[in-house]
Formats: sequence, C-alpha cells, structure tokens
Amino acid sequence: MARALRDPSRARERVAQALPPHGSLSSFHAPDACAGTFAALACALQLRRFVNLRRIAPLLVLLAAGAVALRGRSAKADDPDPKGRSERCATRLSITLLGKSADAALLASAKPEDSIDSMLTSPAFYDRFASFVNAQSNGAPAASPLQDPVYFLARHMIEQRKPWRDLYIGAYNVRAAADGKSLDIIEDANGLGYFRTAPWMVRYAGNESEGVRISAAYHMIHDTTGFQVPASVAKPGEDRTATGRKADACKNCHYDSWFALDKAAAVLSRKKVAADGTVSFDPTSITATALLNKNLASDKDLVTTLVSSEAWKFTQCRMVFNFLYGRPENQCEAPLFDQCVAALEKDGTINAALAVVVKDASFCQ
Amino acid sequence: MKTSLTTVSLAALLASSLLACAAEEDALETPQPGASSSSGGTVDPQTLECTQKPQGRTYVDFGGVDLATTRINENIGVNRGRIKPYAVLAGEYTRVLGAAPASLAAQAGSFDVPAPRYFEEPRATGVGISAMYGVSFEGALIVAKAGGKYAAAPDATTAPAECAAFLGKAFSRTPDTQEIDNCATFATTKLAKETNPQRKWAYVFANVLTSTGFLTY
Repeated sequence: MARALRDPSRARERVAQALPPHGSLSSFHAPDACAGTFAALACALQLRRFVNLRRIAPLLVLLAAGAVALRGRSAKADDPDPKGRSERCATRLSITLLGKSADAALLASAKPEDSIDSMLTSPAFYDRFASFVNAQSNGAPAASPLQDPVYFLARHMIEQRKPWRDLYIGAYNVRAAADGKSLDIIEDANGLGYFRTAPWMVRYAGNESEGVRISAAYHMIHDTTGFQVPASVAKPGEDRTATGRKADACKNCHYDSWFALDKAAAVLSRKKVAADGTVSFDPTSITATALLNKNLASDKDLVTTLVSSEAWKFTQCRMVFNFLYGRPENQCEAPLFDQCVAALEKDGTINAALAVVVKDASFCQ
Repeated sequence: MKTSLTTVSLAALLASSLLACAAEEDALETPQPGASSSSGGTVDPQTLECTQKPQGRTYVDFGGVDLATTRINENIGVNRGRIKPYAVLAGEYTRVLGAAPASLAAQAGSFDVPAPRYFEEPRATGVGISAMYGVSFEGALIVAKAGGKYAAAPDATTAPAECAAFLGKAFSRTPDTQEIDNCATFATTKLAKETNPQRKWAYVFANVLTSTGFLTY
C-alpha cells in the first residue's frame, strides 16, 4: 500500500492549513486537535442536582448532539514520542482484548505488542470475546447463564482452540453446571453447534401457528453469513399462515430468495407446545428442501452449507474487525482482512484469525 | 464511533457555566440557561478516504452479492477512537491522577455497562460525559489541593507548562501547540469568576479528562 495512505500526519498537515487561526475557544475543536478536543463541561453540574434531568435537559441535548469528536492518533516509524506511542498501544490492546485498563508493567513496556499472545490466552480475553460473539448472535442479553449457550460454547472454542466452524456445526451440547451458574460443554454426536441446544431452540422457536421455526431458520442464516432482513410486522387480520406467506408481498423472503425462510425452516423440527406450556420439538415434520443450490434434508445440511460458504468466512473476519476496531473493516484494510480469512482457512480457529489482525502494525498505529 | 468528523464545542457552554460557580468548596454548580455551542472547523474529506484502494479478494454471498461492496471508503488509522468503557475508568483515572475518584464507583448507572456474558460498544452520551465531568473534577481537585504548585492561580507562565504536562499524561502523547494554547487560554482567561486557585486548576484538569484524548482509546 502506498505510504501516503498510511501516513496520517500528511493529512493532518493539510487539515491544519485549512483551519482558521486558533488561540481562542472558538477553535477549541479544530479538526486537527480532535484527538485532544476538550468536550468539557466546566462547572456544569452539581452532582446533588444531577438527578433532576429536566433541569439539565438542554445541556444533555447539547452533549448528546456533539460532545465527542473522536480521532485516533497515528504513530509513524520515526515517532518522536515513542513512550507515548507505547503507552497508547498498551491502553488500546488492554482495553480491546481484556476490557481492562493497562497495568503498570504493560504501560511501561517499550513494546506492548509483545504481550499480545499472553493476552489472547487469558481468561479475561476469553470472556470478552465470547461475550462479543454472544452479542452478535443474540439481540439482547439472556436473563440467566443457563440461557446463554452461545457464550459458553464460543468461550469453549476460543479457550480450547477448537475449529471455529464447530461453534455452528460441532458435535456439542450444553448442560447446566453443578453450581447452576454456568453451562458445561459436552460432546454429543447429535449436536449441531449451539443450534440444537435446548436454550437456543426455545429462545428462537418463534410463534408461527404450525410450529414452523422461521425465527430459528433466520438466525441460522444470520449467525453464519451475517445476512440480515428486517422482520415484518403483522397487520390486523393479515394471514400469517403458510398460505399468507405465499402472497406477493411475502413470498420473496419466505419462498423465492436464496434465503427463503420457509424453505430453510422446512428442514428444522417443529415447535410443539403442550397444554402445560412445555415446549418440545418434533423432528417427524422435517421435509427435504432445495435451497442454497443444494438439496437439504436436515438442519445439519443447512448449517453445514452455510458454514462452507465464502459468506461465512467473510462474516467471521468482519466480526473480528468489529471486535478489535469497533467497526467493520474499511476499503483500505482489504489486504489485512484477506490475511484474516487466510488464517481462518489455514488454522481453522478464530484465535488465529484474530491474532493476524491485532498483531498487524496498523492496530497500534 | 466515527472519528474526527463532527464536533460541537462545549467551550462556550463551559465559559458561561462558570458564571454560576458556587462559592461552596468542592462542588459543581448547574449551568446558566441559554448556554450555547459552536461548531468546529471542517475536514478535507480526502484526508479520510481510501484514495488508493487495494485489490482484495472477492467474497460473494449466496445471492451473488459481493460482500466487500459494503465496505466504507476510509483510510487506515482515521477511524479509531472508541469510547473507553466504564469498567476501565478507575484504572485510567489512576494512571493520570494517581487514584480513582471515590464517586466513580457509584456512577455505573450513568454509563452503558453491559450485562454479564454480553457486549455493548460504549457510547458517548450526555449523561455519561456529565458524570465524567463531575468525577473528574473531584479527582482533579484532590490533585490540585495536594500539589503546592497549585496554590497560585494559573498564569501565563504556569498554565502552558502545567497544561502540557497534564495533557501529555492524560493523552499518553506529547500535546500539540494548539492543544496547549487552548488549555492555557482556558486556564488564564475563562476562570475569572472562580477565586480559589486550586479549584481553577481542578477545572482545567477536569476539562482535559472529559476530552476525547482521554475518553477514547
């Protein structure tokens, strides 16, 4: 990549030339100083009165509107402030990977990047990354750890350096640990990642009148390929049965597209609700279906096909960038992204894919 | 988490709010109504863009869509500021001030603290930054009271020196001239209503600790 792309100092020079004269408060927020911009609120809030939100509503509007201008500072190879650069790198690594501020030893390290490997094998990292994966798969936190198979299975994959695809298709199941505060991972020949764990099946069983697990099918597609489609809201009196879903307004998403939700759900067991409210799943209703350019006969066929796709690799490395950067990869980061995918292909673990990105010099840039 | 694109200055708000400073020691006062803000300068978009796009692999989904087309046109290193999570603030205050302000522990409700086994990207909210200012002032005042050099109000000599030192510590980098000037100007010209020298310094430091250089990583 051209050096010019990686040298933001030149960009800062150009920005500085475009700025108005500074030295007054009006220039407090000049773009070149964004990384150090004062988003201050001097003498603004008496803590004892802080709870009175009505009184400070105008202030909160101002703050919410633009209190923060964020800008990362970059270090060049000839950084005149190597100590500061190391300290910033230590802070970035520690918060990103561990969710903690850097300890004194890391802050004092001349090369905090040397600690990456030990960070990536720490319980704090396992927890943080598994939590991140959990949040990508579930739109909201679970009320109980016993309802969090994604977290515990993801953590198992990371901690044991298992093939990442097994998070979705591995022969695993979960059961409540003896203390009732976590889920144990057990090997189960009938397992299919977290997709056949009871807590997940119940959570995404959906409310289709015949027990067709459309919600589960969608989450299988979403979790593996990143594909998103907004759920539609039923209008009063609207036919939401299979017949209704074949109407013009609905059939594309439910029957015609590559992600045809009803076709995908056909290979899933159906939800049954007993009189006492107990939920079970009936595998006898599974129907083979043609989808994803294949004839699928089971949920395993469906998920295995999804995980074998380019979209799955892409989605996993996008998740890695989202975890490390708080945003997806951008156009200039395409080569690094490809290295992430290559590592995932070669090693099979998400650990390797993540290490490639976080160890790249641009991370602490 | 977009970086460096938009800023609304709170400096005017800050200055006007100082008029309401209480005589009461160690306390912050609510701002006067009518506080205003102003916009910062502009940024040349080209400095943020990926002007020489590298050729990468193509990733196609089942529908034939090239997934890479969703990538944003940004340069490397320009979109990096993430808000520090509440969980690290005690450590960050300790790094800069030597100790975490006591009130920080009770402020979790002002921040987006994620549930166990879950992750949420921290956001810069008005409530959170307001809480940060209160906490920062508390910690900064302790530092100012403990340091003999803060017995005198900031002036044209001490303000730039102390601003440079504190900015460097808080931001983990050498501050640029403009940042030092802004800080020193604030310290010497915007705190006239505050008569206590140590509180003047505390305001200066609290400003730094509620700026993006400290709030982001």
